[in-house]
Amino acid sequence: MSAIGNSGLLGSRFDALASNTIDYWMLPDDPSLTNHGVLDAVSAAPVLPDASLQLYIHVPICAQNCTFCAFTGANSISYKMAERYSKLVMWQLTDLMDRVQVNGHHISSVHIGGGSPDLLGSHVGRILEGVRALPGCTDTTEFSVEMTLSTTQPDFIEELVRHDVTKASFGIQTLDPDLRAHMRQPRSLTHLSKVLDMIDGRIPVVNADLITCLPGQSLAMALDDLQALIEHPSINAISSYLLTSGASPSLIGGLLSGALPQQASPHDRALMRLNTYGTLLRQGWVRRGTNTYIDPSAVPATTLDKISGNECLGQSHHAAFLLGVGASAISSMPGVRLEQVSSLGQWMAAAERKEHPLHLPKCATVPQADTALWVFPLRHEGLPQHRYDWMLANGALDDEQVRTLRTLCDEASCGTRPRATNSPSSARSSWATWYAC
Amino acid sequence: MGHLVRLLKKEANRKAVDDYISEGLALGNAIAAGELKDRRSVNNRQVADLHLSGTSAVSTP
Repeated sequence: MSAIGNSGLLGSRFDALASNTIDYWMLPDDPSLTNHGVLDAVSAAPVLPDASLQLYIHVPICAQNCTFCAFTGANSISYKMAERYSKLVMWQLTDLMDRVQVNGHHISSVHIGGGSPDLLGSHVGRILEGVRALPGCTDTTEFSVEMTLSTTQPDFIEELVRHDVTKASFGIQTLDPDLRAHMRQPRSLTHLSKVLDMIDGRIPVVNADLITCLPGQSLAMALDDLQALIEHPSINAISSYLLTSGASPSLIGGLLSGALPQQASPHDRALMRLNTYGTLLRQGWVRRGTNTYIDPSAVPATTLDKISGNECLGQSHHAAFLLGVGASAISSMPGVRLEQVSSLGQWMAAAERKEHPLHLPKCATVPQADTALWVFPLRHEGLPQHRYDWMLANGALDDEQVRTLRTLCDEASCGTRPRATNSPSSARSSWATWYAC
Repeated sequence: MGHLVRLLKKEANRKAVDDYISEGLALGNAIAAGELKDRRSVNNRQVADLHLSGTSAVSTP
């Protein structure tokens, strides 16, 4: 980072893009925790006035092994095992719901991710049906489901349609066949049209993921990918991610050994991020969540209102409950971070015994009352004034955090807005565009 | 965005993020040096220490 503000990339204080964009909610390991103690903390998690409830169901299976991806899990699953896994995640979800005091509160969103949830086939219907029956699940609850284009089959899509899923999401990453090959993806995208034909306009939001700053990718290539998806008649949401070496050891190894082409210069990488967001905003697309933009002219307003945006898989603020189930899933709620074991076999064996298979070193029972402060750059709604006021009133922020926020506000205001301000809420839109990279 | 998130965290919690990045770098270095096979299991950070134990890499700076 530059010692002097505004002398770095694009007039910011930074000399390079961030190295990691995934798990900011993690805390130092605590060797003293026990399963019992963590589950007690789950039951004790208070329902504060600003409470919200989101659910995440993880499917730790994927047939692809892409270089950029930090996924860990199995690469195939049998029909019987998919059925068993679907039953077990529903057991775990209902058991966790029974333990938390927020049970019965409105569920704002349900996200089924992975991995490749499509590998559950028609068994995904069991999960969707079970979640629909939970107290707090209503017509305004968002349901979003991920899939992998090369493995998605019609029976899976039919279950999503039957259960009124709001958003279907899949990774394209890039249209360039050579870049795709570098990332160990199929060179061609023949499966895209097949999956879109299966969906046939019956799922209101169809989201495609793109990645910028891939090895060998130029600014022009990244923008060509973006424009092609903006113009695609069946895609009305785009999530654009920054490739970060901090997420995937395989990517780091490939770059260091020369097995992968080098990435663009830091300046061009910053331009990829800024131009991506700028292009989507100029097209009138609206941001939901961290990296997702939706075309409001192609999505009904009632559907758009449902999209809460939780792809970053962590709490938005201290009062939020995000319950994650399945192997590797992470939950966060007031005073608790809970991480499941990543071994599918170990997870299933424990769940069969009606035990929660926690990976204790990565769990925590430490309140992070300042969450809304450092999460707000990731959130489309910015930092609402009432949450900032709550943190100040409850002593959640130390002097350094307040000072850092004010300094960053000043820098962002000088760079992009005509009027200077110290108010975090009024500075949020400039941060969203300027510091998005 | 990642820079802002890190800067706005308390110093003690910032270290957990830094350690995670350093751990990934150590795993990547081990892959590049041929000390670790480039397989999906390398992504499993719950057993990162196990992966790194047989290499010359260290998980923290």
